[in-house]
Amino acid sequence: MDAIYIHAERCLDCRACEVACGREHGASNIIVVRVADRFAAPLMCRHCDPAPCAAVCTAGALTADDGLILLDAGRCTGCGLCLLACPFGLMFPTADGRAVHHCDLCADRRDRGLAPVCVLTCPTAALHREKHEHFAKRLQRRAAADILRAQSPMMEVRR
Amino acid sequence: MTKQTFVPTICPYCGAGCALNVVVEDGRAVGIEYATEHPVGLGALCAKGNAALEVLDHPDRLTTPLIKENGRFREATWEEAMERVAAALRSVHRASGPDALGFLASAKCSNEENYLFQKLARSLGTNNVDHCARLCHAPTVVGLAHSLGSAAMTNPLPDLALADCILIVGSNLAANHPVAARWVWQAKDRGATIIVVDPRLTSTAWMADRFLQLRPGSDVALLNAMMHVIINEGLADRDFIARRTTGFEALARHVQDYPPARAAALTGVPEGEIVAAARTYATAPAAVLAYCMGITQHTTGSDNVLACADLALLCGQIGRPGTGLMPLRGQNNVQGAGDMGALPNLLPGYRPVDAPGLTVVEMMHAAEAGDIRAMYIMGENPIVSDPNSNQVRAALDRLDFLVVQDIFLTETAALADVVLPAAAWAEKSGSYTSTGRRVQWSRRAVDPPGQARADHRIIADLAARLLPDTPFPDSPTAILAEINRTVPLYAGITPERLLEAREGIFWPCPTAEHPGTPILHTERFATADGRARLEPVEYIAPTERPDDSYPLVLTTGRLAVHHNSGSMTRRSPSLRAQVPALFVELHPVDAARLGLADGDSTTIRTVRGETVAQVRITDAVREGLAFLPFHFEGTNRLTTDALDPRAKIPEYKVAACRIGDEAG
Repeated sequence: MDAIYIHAERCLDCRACEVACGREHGASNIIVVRVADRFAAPLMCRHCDPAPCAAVCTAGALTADDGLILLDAGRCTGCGLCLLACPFGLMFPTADGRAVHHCDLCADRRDRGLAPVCVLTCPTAALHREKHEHFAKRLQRRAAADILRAQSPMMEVRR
Repeated sequence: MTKQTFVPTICPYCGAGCALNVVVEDGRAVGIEYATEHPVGLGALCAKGNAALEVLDHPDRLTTPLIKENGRFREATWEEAMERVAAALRSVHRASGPDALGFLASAKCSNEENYLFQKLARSLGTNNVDHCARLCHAPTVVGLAHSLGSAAMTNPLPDLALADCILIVGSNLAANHPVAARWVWQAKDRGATIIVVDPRLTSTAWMADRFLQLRPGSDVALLNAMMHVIINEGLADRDFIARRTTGFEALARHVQDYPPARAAALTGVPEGEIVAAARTYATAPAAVLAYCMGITQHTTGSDNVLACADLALLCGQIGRPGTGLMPLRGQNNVQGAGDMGALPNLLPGYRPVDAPGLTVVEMMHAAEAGDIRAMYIMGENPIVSDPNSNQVRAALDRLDFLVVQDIFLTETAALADVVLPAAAWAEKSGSYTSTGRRVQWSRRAVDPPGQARADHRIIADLAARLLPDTPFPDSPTAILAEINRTVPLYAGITPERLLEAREGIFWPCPTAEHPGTPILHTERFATADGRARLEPVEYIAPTERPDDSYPLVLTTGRLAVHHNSGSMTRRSPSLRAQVPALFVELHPVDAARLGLADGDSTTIRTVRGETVAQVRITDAVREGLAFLPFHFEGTNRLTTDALDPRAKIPEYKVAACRIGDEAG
């Protein structure tokens, strides 16, 4: 599936993604979570299938479309059930509390051939918008290099 | 959708020199598009860069000149304000001589503006011109000029990706130069070892394979001990030393006094860690040493820099790709401001003057003593940035006349007799020099608000009133053309070339045909004999130590979401929302002893002053160490103005404090 994949070990809690997303969308749909002053990870809507938020939505504002959960803000009544249903806490109330917002992988930019802003702005390239096999290939290559280095310490392994 | 244009600019925040495209619609900046081809960070921007538009259309922007009357500001025309400034400076000049004037240039203004500003000061007869590099990398200017003949970063930022070992000493680049972390991670992906040396476990240390958590101010002991190990274990690059340096014998003898055991006692870093770090750095085929305020902001800042240079030279880690010394410059144009001679002892291009003027902190002491009677401050906020704020306030109050030129009514501007409204970064064109000596052109995208004017225009106007017979070009390209004639390092960085150079041009660039110089010292050093100087330095403790009255060590530093004095970032809604107020980091054991919980409000005091901050309990600091970010007015009421004797930088990194109700 298409999604934003995260190399969380590269996240340095700089908040560039939150500020960029907030600028583009009025409020940020991505949130960086800091853990024990040792790690951080940026998190955004996982576009689940089936999606608990869409399942509880009383107004039909959340629908699945081609692997993404789309929000029709015009239909949202602000009932807040989706805020309760999301297991990750990645649906957010709007500032006035009357509706919700979440990450749609910068759908409006995709129509113009542009990548999501969090992906473009991340200073350490922790975020990638790509097919899973490309993301996995990077991890597999790194794992192979680690194994080879461990088993043959004399080997010069460049990833 | 109406037509949008994308204007290429350079980010106004840190010294990385990231490019960004400002999206302009109907004359207003409406968005940012990322410059994904730009070599510094492939278009990435940190939180500050992403918020950079927020200072443009801001309600607090200064839009008219202001004159203070009966303690309150009133609006004035440009003509009235400029005549008032000219008359006041002329009067002080006549009554007390040119050295009764003080000029603070701006590390945030362009090369052209800083060049004009120091030209004005010097044409009036004084060398009392300085800027905030004094508070930041002045020891680099002293130390690396001595060691290498040239005080600048030796390799471009992306060279970090080519290193096999990166030694990061006293730099929190993850927060302050975040795009540099991309290259650090690329090096890690290739198997490089990252060593971080810092009193705090910062997000930079999250990338570390080895973390040496030393006591603030003990860097010379650590670095000397590393050199002890390297020399005694035969890991020094003897060939490089013989061909390209002088002073090895004296250094080798000197570091015998620094066995790892002694350094362990002084630094608090285990012996084994010191030895391992030394071996890793010395045996890496290519190693970079990156450093920042943790090295420079000490009374021993110059010594600290010399020790860093010694280590790199000892191991032959200079003059090749993936190696070098990287003093990471803080402001977007602090490198350029120095290059342009906004310094009391150096002319444009780093030629020494005969009779050096006063440095930043010395000017404040002189103002308090009545020796400096008038000051012209451009784009700097000494009330927040300088140490010992109470003294600075007294100094500026004592002046006969203060004129401040800025985009906001900062804490310093509030004290002025005349305030001149300036254009912000995207509202004027000019060249800016990043930390890696990359000179880049930033294009004007939108008009300044109200009657605000570009700084170069204001300076040229004042110069015309005070020095009508001296030519002061006022267009950026004309000023750059004059710089080409007067600054050899920039001779070939002509307007024609620079406006087309999407990746900038690295100085030295001596001719219009020269491609620029990304890596320094490849064949010879910039010293008279072409060799680098190895210089032994002795460990000296910080000036202020904890005692019964002030039992904790206070250190200061930066955050990822704010920048320097906070005049721009504290006014940017998206950044203020991230960190709205001053906090103090305390170790859980200290907090428990003080009866403080996370989120409590508490008072921190030093012998110089006090401030209130919110408690943040973390084990990122060791027991006995408190940390305050300096982006908020309040922190520098506490810090000391004790200075490094050569560089004149204050010891921001070490003070003695007490917190809360602990009995003093």
